[in-house]
Amino acid sequence: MLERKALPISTVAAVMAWEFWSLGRRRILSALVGIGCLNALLYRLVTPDSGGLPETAQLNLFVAIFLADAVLIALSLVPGRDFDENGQAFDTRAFLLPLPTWLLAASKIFFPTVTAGLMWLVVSAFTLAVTPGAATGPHWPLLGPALVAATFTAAGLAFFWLPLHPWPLRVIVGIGMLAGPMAWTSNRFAGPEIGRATRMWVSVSATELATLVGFLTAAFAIAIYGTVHARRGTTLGFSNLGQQLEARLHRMRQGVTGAFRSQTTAQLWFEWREKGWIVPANAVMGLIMFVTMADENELLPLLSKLVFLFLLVMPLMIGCLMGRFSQSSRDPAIDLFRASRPVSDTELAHTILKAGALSVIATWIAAISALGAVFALLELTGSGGQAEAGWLILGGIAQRIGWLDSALGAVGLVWISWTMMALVTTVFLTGRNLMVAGLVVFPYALGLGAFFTSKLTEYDVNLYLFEAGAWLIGLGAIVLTMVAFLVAGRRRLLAGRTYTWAVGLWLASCSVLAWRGADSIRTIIDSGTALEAGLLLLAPGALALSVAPLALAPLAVAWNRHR
Amino acid sequence: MSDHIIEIDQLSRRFGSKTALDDATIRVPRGLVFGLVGENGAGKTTMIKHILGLLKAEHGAVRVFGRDPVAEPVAVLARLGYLSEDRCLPQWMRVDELMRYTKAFYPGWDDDFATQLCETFELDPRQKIRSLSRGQHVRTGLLIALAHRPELLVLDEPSSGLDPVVRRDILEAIIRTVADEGRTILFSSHLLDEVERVSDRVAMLHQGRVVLEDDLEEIKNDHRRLTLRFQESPATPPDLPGQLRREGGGLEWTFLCTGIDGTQERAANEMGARFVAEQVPTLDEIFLAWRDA
Repeated sequence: MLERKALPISTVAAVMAWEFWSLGRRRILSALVGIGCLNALLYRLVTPDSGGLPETAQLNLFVAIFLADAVLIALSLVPGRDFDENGQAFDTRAFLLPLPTWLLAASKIFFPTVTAGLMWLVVSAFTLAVTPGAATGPHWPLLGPALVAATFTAAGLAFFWLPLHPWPLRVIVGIGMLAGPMAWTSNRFAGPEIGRATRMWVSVSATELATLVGFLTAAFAIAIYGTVHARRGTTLGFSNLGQQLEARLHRMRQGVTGAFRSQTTAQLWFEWREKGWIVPANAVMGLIMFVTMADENELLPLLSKLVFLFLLVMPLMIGCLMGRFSQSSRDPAIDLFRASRPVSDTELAHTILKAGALSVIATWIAAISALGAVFALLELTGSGGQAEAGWLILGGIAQRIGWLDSALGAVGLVWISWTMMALVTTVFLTGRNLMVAGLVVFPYALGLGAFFTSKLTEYDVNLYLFEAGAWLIGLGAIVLTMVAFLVAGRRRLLAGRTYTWAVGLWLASCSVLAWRGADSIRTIIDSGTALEAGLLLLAPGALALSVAPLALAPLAVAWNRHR
Repeated sequence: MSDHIIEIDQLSRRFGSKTALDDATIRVPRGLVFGLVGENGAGKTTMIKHILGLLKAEHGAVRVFGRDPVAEPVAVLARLGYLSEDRCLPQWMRVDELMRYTKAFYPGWDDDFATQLCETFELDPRQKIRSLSRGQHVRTGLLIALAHRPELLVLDEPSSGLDPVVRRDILEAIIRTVADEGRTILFSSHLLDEVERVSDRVAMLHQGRVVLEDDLEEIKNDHRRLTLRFQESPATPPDLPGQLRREGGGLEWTFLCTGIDGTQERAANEMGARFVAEQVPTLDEIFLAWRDA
């Protein structure tokens, strides 16, 4: 009979300390600094004394901050080290550690849970410290969100540790595990309007605390159960069912799985199957979850705003995903498999951009279809008024932005999405952490610089700097694009038709902009100052950035692939 | 057309403070099995990555099929098959999907041969790569490297993960078959007995330097293990011309020498010793001797 010994507390502490040191120290600290800066900046922008935003916009921005914080915290705690090199199976080395299962589960679940809660409190304290006015408002999330963040982290991580098979079962269980806490918290947090603070944002009752602790305990129990099975190498679920489903899918696919027409088609299939589908699929799942969880009265306005968020935020996320070759942040270089295929740097880069564009389009279609389906459902169930209200809200947002009310606006949306996705993809394609860090730091630096400049300088100086900045950014973007095309051409990375397309698109978009904005341009020219005229450079510069990835992405791949 | 399919001239590469390759020069002749041997960290994989164009030469030059693999990756990669020592195949694919995908890049892909290899390797085409064992993974990599009948097959530590039976019966048989068809194979290994069995020519790497490169037969002809017996114990350890290694003590000493001609025997006579044994050393012994020398 095995002798059971009590585990010394020092061992437990050592395991927890190791988890922090090996898993989180850099990511957690970076996230804290990042979130702190973001919050300080955004809070300063939305406080009433910043002078401009209506109350609804302020509330919406609070929600955006809340979501951004949650995403950053979650990303910093994703247990990447526990996955294999492809992020698809557990690295079983953890199971070989001479630790009891409960401690292993605790180190993987409990530690990130507590950290998530603490991170939220630290971030909030920092924000309050740098923005004194915030303490007086009821909006700022403190205790409630900290506990909720911890609960969600625990539920999410417990789910990660369940060795479920097949993957549809994994998805269903994942949704089920998150649905409980989500449904419960949404009732407590939701006010008459999203962003309007409720009591739980600032104080939590004993019953609520007990409920959250209940969720945490359940998550911990599930984690132990999952770890026991994973350690034994057994899977939970219906392996045979999975095999049968896969066999059926295989037979269905065989009809359309002839040889690829070309290398490009094969590579596009590869990129889509590996990463392209992830964001659209998650968008669909997220929307379904959202629709099932949200309060009926709030559904339409919430969904309308969420779809709009999708349209602008998703291209950035897709860019991060598509441009990243490796799951490992320590070695973000191109993987050996792709690098050793007989495909040119240009073809590889352009195919990845194409897959990214497809992913963006699929996400839009998914989001808009979900919205359309909800509105149609409301029409069918006799709630036509709500559907009409939903469309009005969506139209209202478009009008507020100012360019969605015309065909040109739709083109503009496509242009913005493409440019954001393609530029972010290109930066990640370099496979250099320094470049990726630059991508994160640059907007912060620009925003903070603009903020401090506006606070520390006189109005005239401020205006002068702003106009000079416009000159520089516009000119810089054009020069960067030209240099990229020249260098890519010298390295024989680009075909002649790419130049023709790029120049043609740029000139066409500049012409359309000049035609639509002729009045504004005339006003600027009539003002007679060189600096104001500099604003005219900003638009062609920004438009140049949309074609720059055609040259920059192949250069990035070449830099990454031939080290 | 050059007789050499790979030409590496004075190639040097550093990673930070570590020198991975130091002035390495090798020539791989067409139609031979070329073994690249060396201990772990000797620079074998770094050299192979240069051949594939995945690393740019810091100093020196690399030509494959007479082309620069960095400047013309497609022209080079389309004509070679590569098996990595890492498990780098996409885990989410099934074996048949991998075959279908790979086929798109090689006009010379032979479906019948691919199917035959799949059967020989006992692979289930519908199996996910994620679920393959280490040995099956290597076999799958070998399948996609071979099925387009490449002019040059580059195998980086192909034996790692394969059991001895598969190694002897399949891998070595394939290597010989491909070579018999007049194609070239470059393979790296630290298993010297395996290299000895299949290679026509060998290059030995040690700490990034090529310490020896020659035909296997020449190498064997040029090295001997010589055992000397002295009438009296020498006061200081004796030396022989071309000695790479010396072992022993007292009256009997064993040397591993290169450049075997008459000079070793004359030197022994002058020292008052005589040869009591002369043997052909194994590649393993030769490599260790060169490494220590």
